[in-house]
Amino acid sequence: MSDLEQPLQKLRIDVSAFPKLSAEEAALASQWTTLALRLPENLAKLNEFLKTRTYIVGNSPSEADVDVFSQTESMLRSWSSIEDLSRYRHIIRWADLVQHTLLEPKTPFTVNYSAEVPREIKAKP
Amino acid sequence: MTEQVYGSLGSGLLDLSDNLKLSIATSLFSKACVLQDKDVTETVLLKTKSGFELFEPNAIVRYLASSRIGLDAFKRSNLSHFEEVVLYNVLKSGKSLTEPLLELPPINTSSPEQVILFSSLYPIKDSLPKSANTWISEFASKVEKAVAHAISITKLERAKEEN
Repeated sequence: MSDLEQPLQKLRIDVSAFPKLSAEEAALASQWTTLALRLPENLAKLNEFLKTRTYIVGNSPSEADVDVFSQTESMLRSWSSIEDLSRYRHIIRWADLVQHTLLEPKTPFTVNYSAEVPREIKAKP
Repeated sequence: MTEQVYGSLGSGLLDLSDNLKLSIATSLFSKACVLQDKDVTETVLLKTKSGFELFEPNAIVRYLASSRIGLDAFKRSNLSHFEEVVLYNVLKSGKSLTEPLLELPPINTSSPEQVILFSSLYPIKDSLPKSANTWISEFASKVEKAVAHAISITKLERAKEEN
């Protein structure tokens, strides 16, 4: 895949250091690698998905985190309004973790943690 | 049966492509049938007994194929990128393919990547060059029942012409 051949970001860790994925984890990674090619239409889904996960495939980092991060990076840098910070809070939390644990960005995007973002309203089941 | 697979209830070219992917993948790699239930979902979905879910059709095809060919099912080539970006936008917009079609590989119905590619080419086959149509016809003949099933569950509506 061309996006993998020419990564936008320098990796902080060796790709081989990522844990080997199960079929379910690989399917999740594949799902989000595909959906990340079609942003911004899938941003709401990505935000909702990351609400209950540390990384794309669960609790462990994978190449999918790097792939999806590279597709969202320009948008992350453009989000500054309270509305955006509120709407995409889980993507921002995940991306900040990714850039500080998996990548070595020359100019990391900054997160305004002092912004007064309204509490998230939990949808009734 | 360890998974339930739900097809799209939509009526666009993308919905036909999605249902082709699921019908062919279940026929080749799984014992599951493609269900449709508007009370569960109107778009595609795979659910397992353990609660695992996927809602992106290509990932579902690859996941089902992984039961046969392991993690090789998740390998991607330039064909994947072409399908996921170029063909996706053609199917979604209903507009013609303007970019040159990539060279199609020798037919291998065991390849999830080819199942995905075929499923996105089939709905626009009439607008493709003859060489592509030969590939599509040959692939279709190998998965005839699944193609017929996908067509039977997709109520395709013609896109409204723009003035």
